[in-house]
Amino acid sequence: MAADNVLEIKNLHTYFYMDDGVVKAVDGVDVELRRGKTLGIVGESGSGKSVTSLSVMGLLTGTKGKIAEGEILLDGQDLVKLSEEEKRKIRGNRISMIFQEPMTSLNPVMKIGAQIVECVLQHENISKKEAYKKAEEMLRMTGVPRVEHMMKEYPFQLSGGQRQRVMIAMALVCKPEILIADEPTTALDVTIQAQILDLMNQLKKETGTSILFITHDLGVVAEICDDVAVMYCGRVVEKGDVKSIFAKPSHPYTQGLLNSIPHLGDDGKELQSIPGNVPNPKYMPEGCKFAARCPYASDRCRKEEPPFFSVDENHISRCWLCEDGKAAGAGKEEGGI
Amino acid sequence: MKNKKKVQMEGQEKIKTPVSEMIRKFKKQKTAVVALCFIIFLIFLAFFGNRLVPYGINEYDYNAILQRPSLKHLFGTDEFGRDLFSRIICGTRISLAVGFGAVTVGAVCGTILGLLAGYYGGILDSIIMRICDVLFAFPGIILAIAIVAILGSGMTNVVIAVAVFSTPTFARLVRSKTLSLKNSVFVMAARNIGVSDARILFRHILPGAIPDIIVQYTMSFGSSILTASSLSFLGMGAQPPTPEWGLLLSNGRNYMASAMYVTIFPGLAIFLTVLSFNLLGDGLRDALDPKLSD
Amino acid sequence: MPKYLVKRIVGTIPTLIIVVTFVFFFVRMIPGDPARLIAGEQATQADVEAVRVQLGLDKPVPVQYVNYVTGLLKGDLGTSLRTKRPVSEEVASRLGNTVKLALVTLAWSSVVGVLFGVWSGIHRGKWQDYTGMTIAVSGISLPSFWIGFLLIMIFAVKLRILPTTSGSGWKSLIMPSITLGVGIAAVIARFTRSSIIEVLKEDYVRTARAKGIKEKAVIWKHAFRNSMISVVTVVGLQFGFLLGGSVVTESVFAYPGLGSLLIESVNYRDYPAIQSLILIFSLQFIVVNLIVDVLYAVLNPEIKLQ
Repeated sequence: MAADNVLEIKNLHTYFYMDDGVVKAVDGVDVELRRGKTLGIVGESGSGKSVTSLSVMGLLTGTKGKIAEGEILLDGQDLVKLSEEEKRKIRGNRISMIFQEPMTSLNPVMKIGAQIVECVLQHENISKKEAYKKAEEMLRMTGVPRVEHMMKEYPFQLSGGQRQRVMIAMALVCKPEILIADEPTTALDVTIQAQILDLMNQLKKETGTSILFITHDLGVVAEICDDVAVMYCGRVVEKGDVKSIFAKPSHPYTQGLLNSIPHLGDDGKELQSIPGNVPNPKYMPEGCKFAARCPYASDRCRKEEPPFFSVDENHISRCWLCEDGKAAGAGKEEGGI
Repeated sequence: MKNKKKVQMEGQEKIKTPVSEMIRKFKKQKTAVVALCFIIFLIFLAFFGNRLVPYGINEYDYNAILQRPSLKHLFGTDEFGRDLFSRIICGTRISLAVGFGAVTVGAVCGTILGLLAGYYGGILDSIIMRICDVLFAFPGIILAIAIVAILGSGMTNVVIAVAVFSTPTFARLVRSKTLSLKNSVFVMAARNIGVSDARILFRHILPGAIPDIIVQYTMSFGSSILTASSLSFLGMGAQPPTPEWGLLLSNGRNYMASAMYVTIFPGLAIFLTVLSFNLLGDGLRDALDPKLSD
Repeated sequence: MPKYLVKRIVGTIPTLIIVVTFVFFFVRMIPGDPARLIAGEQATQADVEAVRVQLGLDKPVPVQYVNYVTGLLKGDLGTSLRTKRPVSEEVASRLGNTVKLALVTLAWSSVVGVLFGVWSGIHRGKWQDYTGMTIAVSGISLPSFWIGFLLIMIFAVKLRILPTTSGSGWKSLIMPSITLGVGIAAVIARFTRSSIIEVLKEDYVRTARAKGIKEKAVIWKHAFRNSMISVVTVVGLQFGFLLGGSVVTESVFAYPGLGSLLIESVNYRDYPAIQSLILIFSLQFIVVNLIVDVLYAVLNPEIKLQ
């Protein structure tokens, strides 16, 4: 195992046990997050990307979801095997998370300062005064104006962008090794989006935190990520470093996602959308899950699920089309079932 | 193209109508199903109970006054030697009739007022809602006592009183539902093709409010029986020798030390009846609530 | 906050006016001649006329209305037909008892109801939830007078540890308060449960968990405080139920409060007294709802800081 991976997810299966059947929201995912880097997990809604992040956080309790199989290694320590209490001590301290909805993610009846301080006091054995000072410093790092004042304000007095900065301050105040960001900019205006992304990049450099970035937006990925994993129907279908993925998208699904982003200078060229919808998780097709929407699908695709094939150094794709090039590297076929 | 079609087919689930879906979910609520069975049993007693009971409701037997429960008198006898079991069974009809009468009148009036207020808005809405506010400013049973004080004691007046204070609840419920349905696409469409207001209200909007009305109806049924029996207990409802449960219970207060069963059994009858309506209401609400279907 | 308060107080004025007007016309809704009804079947024509003059019913309705309202503003509630004394005296001597009973009941039933509700809500779908909610649905289905009788039979008749009648200090409040509070506690428990369940789904609760906050603090510091905002409103509405319930409860225990006074007055057809009592009951309800609005604002920073 490469020593520079801060987080390794191995063969993760997270299932939801519903009244009328089991939904395999995450069905065999392997990804690695390199220390100090940003890994983007990309996919449509329902692809399992958010469930993957909730599995890492151990936030599935209270839902019908459960990790059925797999390992989540934080510095080599398997989080799946930990007790609830041990997982709680890691949350907010060694791994923290920010969410899509800054408008509703802060407690409306608690002051901003109290919400950040609470996190510090939970994980660090310091006085309230020191905790308050620490919270204030962290909030200042996120670049909000009049910090002293804002510490005493309630969430409803802040704008969406300010709230997301508060969320980031709250997530980073305990200097975690990993920050999971689940679509942190989706709900924000475009200009604010860019500011928040810049802030995350800047804080990553200053604090050395690695980021697991969940998004459906490949444009954002290009801006912030070092590595990318594309997910479809609970599986990773293509992963590699960001340059290689953008230069040589090898899975038809990734190609479809890329074709549906507008680029400057291609006026008149029609944007392409991927036809059809994500299959119903209760009636998952056999073979490649993307076959029904794939323009290149063959009979083989509908019957047999492809393993990973190597496309490039550090770039693999789960598509039969990549088979003829170079077959998957030895030991890279772990994603089978 | 072919692919696309296939995807959509796979994406589709078995067709579920709202009603069949509601029945399916309701069947899962075991307690509610049991409650429904008990209510059906009560309705049966209300219709045929008087023919099945061993004694007449006003069959006096001065040789057997205040008898303890025995095989001869399952629930014992009262101070006139009347069989309490027979009286309680026959009382079912009264309580169910009061609940049915009061809540049905309240539901019909409330629904019509709510539809009108929500659909036409404006002054009509303000007037109707203000009246409801005022009725809400009087605690339910106080309002009922006031009405009975005006109209005089008796079961009919109790029904009217309970109907009056259950009306605003239905009016508010139906109004808010109407407001949300009024601007829905299908109502707009119906209005655009010139469907009459009456038809829109009763064929398009009302069906959308029916599930909520059913839940409220069931819940109100239980609380109406409770209120009506309270009024009888206070001497404002049924008058002796009617075997109304609240009245039976009130009668028992004189024999509390010597014959506690005279108060226990009528109370149990009220409790079980109200409980089954409340459980049924809970079950229906859960079956209807889309939020609970995770 | 002051602005909000003023708005709320001003907002109750129309309701007050309508309630007073409603109560005024209340006497006039009695079918037949109210003076004849009040004077009794055997009264002579002269007696009836005397009653008519005594009640001011010989004057035109608008004048009667003005007289009634000015009387109310001076604290004049009319003269009781039963005691021949001012209704206000009788009310004053009993109001304290009813308020005492109501406050004690509201206090214990809110605490018990909220605790049961939270307990059920956080264990949604588990045995704790079923137990709590079975108790609660039974609580709303129990006839309060039956609870009262069962309590009397157990604690006063069999065990002889509690007094049946009032006037023996705080002990005499125990049974009436339990009788009155069971249904209210049950309603509050049911509402608190659904409110907690809703709040636990909120994003900020997920945030709190993501911060690694202990589950106890997640529930009490984050979920509970937010759910209280809506629970407080329901507690206020329950106060109306409580006032109504006090009529039955006071009658069961012969407790000398406004509720039993109302029943006595109804039985005696003491219309001035009935009229005033109904007015007082709804006034209490309006005042409590005003207090609830204030509490709502205290709990909700968005309104507090306006």
